[in-house]
Amino acid sequence: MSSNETTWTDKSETPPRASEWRRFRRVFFGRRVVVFGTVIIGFLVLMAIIGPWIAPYDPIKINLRERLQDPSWQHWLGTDNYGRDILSRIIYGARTSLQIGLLSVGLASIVGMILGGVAAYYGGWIEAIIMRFIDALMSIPVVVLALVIAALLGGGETNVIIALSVSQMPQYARLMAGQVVSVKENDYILAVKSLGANDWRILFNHLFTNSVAPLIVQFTLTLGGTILAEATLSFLGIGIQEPTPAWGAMISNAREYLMDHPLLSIAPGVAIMLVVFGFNMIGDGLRDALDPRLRGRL
Amino acid sequence: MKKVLFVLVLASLLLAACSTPTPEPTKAPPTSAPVASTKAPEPTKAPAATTAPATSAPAATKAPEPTKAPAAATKAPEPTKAPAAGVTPKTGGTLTILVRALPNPIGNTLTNFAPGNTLYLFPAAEPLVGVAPDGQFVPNKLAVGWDVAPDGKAITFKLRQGVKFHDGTDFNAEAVKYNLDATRTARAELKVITSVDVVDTYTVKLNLSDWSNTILNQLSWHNGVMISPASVKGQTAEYIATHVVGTGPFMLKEFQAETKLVFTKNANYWEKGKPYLDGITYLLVADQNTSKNAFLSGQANAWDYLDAKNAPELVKQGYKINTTPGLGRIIYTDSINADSPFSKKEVRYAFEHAIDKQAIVDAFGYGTWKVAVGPCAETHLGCAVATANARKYDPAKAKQLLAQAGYPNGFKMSFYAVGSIENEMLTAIQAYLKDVGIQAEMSKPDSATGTTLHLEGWKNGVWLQGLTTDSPSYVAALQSDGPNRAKIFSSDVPAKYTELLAQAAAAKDAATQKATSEALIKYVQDEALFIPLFITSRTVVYTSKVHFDLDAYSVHSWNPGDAWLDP
Amino acid sequence: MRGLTRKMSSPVRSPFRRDLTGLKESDVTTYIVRRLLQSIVVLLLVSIFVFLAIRLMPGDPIKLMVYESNLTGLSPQQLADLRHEYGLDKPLALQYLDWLGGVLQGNLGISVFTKTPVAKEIFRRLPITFEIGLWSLLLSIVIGVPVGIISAVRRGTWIDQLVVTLSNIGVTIPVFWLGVILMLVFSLYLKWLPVMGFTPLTEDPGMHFKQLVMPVICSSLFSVAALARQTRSSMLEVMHQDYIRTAWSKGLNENAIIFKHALKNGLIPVITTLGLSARGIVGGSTVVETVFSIPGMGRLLVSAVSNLDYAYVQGIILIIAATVVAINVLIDIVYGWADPRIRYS
Repeated sequence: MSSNETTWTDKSETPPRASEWRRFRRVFFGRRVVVFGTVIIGFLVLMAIIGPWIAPYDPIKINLRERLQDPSWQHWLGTDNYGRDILSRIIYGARTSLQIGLLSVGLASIVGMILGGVAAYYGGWIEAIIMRFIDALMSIPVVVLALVIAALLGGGETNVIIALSVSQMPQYARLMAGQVVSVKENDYILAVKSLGANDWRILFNHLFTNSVAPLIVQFTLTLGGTILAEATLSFLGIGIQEPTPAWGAMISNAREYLMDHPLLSIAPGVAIMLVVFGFNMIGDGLRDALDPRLRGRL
Repeated sequence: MKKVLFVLVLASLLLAACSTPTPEPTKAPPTSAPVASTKAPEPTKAPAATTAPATSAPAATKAPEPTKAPAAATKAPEPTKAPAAGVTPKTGGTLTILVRALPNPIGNTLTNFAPGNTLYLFPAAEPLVGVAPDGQFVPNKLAVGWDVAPDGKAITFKLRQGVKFHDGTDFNAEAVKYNLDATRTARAELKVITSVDVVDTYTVKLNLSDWSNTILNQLSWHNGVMISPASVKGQTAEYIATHVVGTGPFMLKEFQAETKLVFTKNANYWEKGKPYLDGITYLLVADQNTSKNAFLSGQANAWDYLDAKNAPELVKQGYKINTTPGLGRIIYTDSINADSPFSKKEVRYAFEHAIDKQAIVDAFGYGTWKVAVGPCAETHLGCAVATANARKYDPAKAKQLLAQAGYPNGFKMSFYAVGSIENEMLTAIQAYLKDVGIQAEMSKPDSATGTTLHLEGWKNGVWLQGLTTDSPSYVAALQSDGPNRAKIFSSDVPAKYTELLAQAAAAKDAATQKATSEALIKYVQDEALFIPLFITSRTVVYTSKVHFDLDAYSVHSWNPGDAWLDP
Repeated sequence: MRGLTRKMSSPVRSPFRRDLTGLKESDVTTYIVRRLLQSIVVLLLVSIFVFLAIRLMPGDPIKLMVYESNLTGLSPQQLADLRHEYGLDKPLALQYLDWLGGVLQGNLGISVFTKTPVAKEIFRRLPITFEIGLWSLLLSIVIGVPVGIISAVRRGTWIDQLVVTLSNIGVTIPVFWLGVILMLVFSLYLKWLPVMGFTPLTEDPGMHFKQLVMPVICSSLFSVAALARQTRSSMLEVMHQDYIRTAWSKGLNENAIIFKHALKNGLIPVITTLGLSARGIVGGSTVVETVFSIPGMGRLLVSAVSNLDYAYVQGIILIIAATVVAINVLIDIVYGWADPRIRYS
């Protein structure tokens, strides 16, 4: 019988209080690298929001006579193979990339939570059907799934988001199912049930809210990976289409200029690196702060 | 049949020239050159009208010009461009070529072959008709001569004797009949052949429903390739799909779909002393960047169909580059849909005025692309006529035309392109369209979706595709890539166009050919049946050790047997 | 109570392990049999999913083949014959059953494009993809796990900092980009390795391994980094637990503590990560094989999807799914071995 059995579920039965919040802040901001990650993501989110006002140029306006310029006062990061300002594209790209990350992981987690929650709560046939379906999805690698979905629906931002969320969904369903199974036998839930609350109410009001911590952690940890996956899809020709500035597509398209114009790849490469790093750090920090018991598992 | 005799004499001279022990059938061997120069009235364009029909038939006035056959025949002893004078080809070595695509499957030429695959077939299988680098038809492949009937409704081919397929069976008239009978029913462009008669072992007669001046052109590439009947008859589908048993200088040794194509020397090749190489290997590399690194690291001797942008750098590094005109890029619109903006001619005009072709050519062509002034390439017969009415870059005029057509604020549309079309070009076009208010949503459908759009039509959009420039015949180019509802469902094909095309295809002498081609070009341009953009390039880069008739390295006229490598 | 359930409230479970009620303790055989039966159900679902998905894709394979092969002169009757030849004129359910029947007999169907049985080509390419996958998995374990352990044991030292930094960077680099960089360094500047291609072991063993180096590095990059991160954090977790603290306080030898006590428990979540890595590596083959021009299954899949080659797409995805499922069954069994709590409640 290991010592780490029920601690966190016990704790989560009581909603966080002011003291909890203080503890959260202390742990979360206790690690410098987490603070650094938070600052990076904060900065990128800000850039995504105010991008249109700070970007020096139109990110999709081509100027074939000024293509592939080195950095200068006019173009801090130079221009790309269409003569577009790289800095402006990076700034606008923050918006696209974050959007893809947040929407696809958001969609995946919502659908996954519902499926996983319902499966685990009801058990029996419902669980068997849902979980076999989840297993089937899970046995197909992300890239392969995306390839099939892109062939079905065509390329473009919406479909990239759909492909990425379908491929992430099983993870959330599993995680949620695991959570619900462990929580639903608790005295607290049994008490609510005996008071006559209906199933949906129990699911939404109690089970979901009580399972949310690990899901938040998982959410931040997969965000970075999802933004990276967009680059892979672009490489296979099923990612975000030109001229929309997206970091993944930018780095993929810049490959052929790598030797002569390395900045074309380095700029979006660094941006992706920062965003993945930032989200991972926040994820780590959240995990430690919300529930140290999750360490080693997420 | 004096002409046949004449051709035979020439052919025997050619054979004699080629069978000399020294492997020096390079540019115009001395033995045959005088013959050629004395008998050939003028090796340039269309001298045929004066010579051949006059000698061949009483009905000289009605005699169709058998395209360029006689002229070509006189040029025969000069097979193709060969290595620089004075250099003796070396034997041995394997030429490894990196390519972007390989046929899938390689075999089954009879029912399953496309124009783009011709290149990969030629090492192993030869067509009836050869083509010289200048576009003239020459009897340096499996036919040693041909004769067109006075009424133009039959062509008689004299076949090369003593040629064997790789499986040891004889190449003869029966084999030609077998091949053509299989292809003429499956391919629209060969339907003009109504039947094939075996006259004797080495003579075969093609009966035509009507004269077509593109028939020799068709028989000079995949449509005219001859494979051993024994390699098809009674064989399993799997065997057929993976084997090409032809008469070529190389034999197919290994075919791995989507991977590689390996040819080895055919020791019994009919042209003695050839091939020089021990083998040719094609490696498929899907990613351009990988190709580049593989070529630079010495994993291959040549890299075909590279992006133009790599060319300058490779030249700087001392590699040899060969650039020939590639596909023209043209745009089809859904002009049959009444509710589409493109049903209005002004919109189609505006579309062309909106795009700064020159800027795109300068930016992405690296000196190897050209602006398509009219609906043709300058290598096409009669294309000069389009210059006067060229629609130049003029965004103001484009906007004005759009307003006239009832779209003062522009409109939204889909832009489809498929295949190895340069992404950069598409993005640039999209940006220019945006400037005049046309919001183009670019999509590169996979080939399955693309085909469906082609065959079943699309709404409110355009399709970017290629226009072949392999032959000077504009008619041949339109036969494969011109407006055709069976291939491009959504684009209008006016009756007038069909009529003009038929007239041009049936034109019998050079002057009529030119005049009808010009009429066709003018009509296509005025009606904007398709919108011409650029003529791209086909670029091959190779190491200094490679010697091959690269000027002739086009789809129709490559002679793989002539290639050689420095040790 | 649940027999094979890990009792702790861990959210992390092997992707394919589930709660099995009513099992006798230690009834491992039953467990494995049930697990295999579930896998078959999963694969059936995958087969239906793929079968339907590819048929929902826009386009008609016969028309596509005819168009690409320049057979536009064929008559409608000839086209109908072709369609009949490939059984594409039957109702969907029947087509599916036909195909499934064939699969059970090892016949994955005939490609409309190549006219050859796809099983032959797939099984020719399978070992290539698998070899790269196995080496990558091996490399991930051999590098990722020890590095993670060292980093955890030496927490806070420069080694730990380095591992954390590198593993964080490792999960942020796109594979295709790393491929290009490796080519530039190892092939063009150092001239140690060939840029691309694949040579069978039997043909030239030296070349075989040289050509594998860069693809294996690329396809293992992510899982090396992920495993290192995972090992580090789960080791840290375990090392803070009471029994390890007790061991320390008893003055046990450091190695004994790490290897005897901490490692075994610490590795459990690592096994889970490994299962996910396997899936990632199999999927990543599409990218790695394109970058290094390796004739494996991944590249075949990319082209088959775009050609709408039903038999190939169905066959390849089914095999990929079967591989992933098999790896996970295996991992579940290992899991049971590594974590006794799973078996004994």
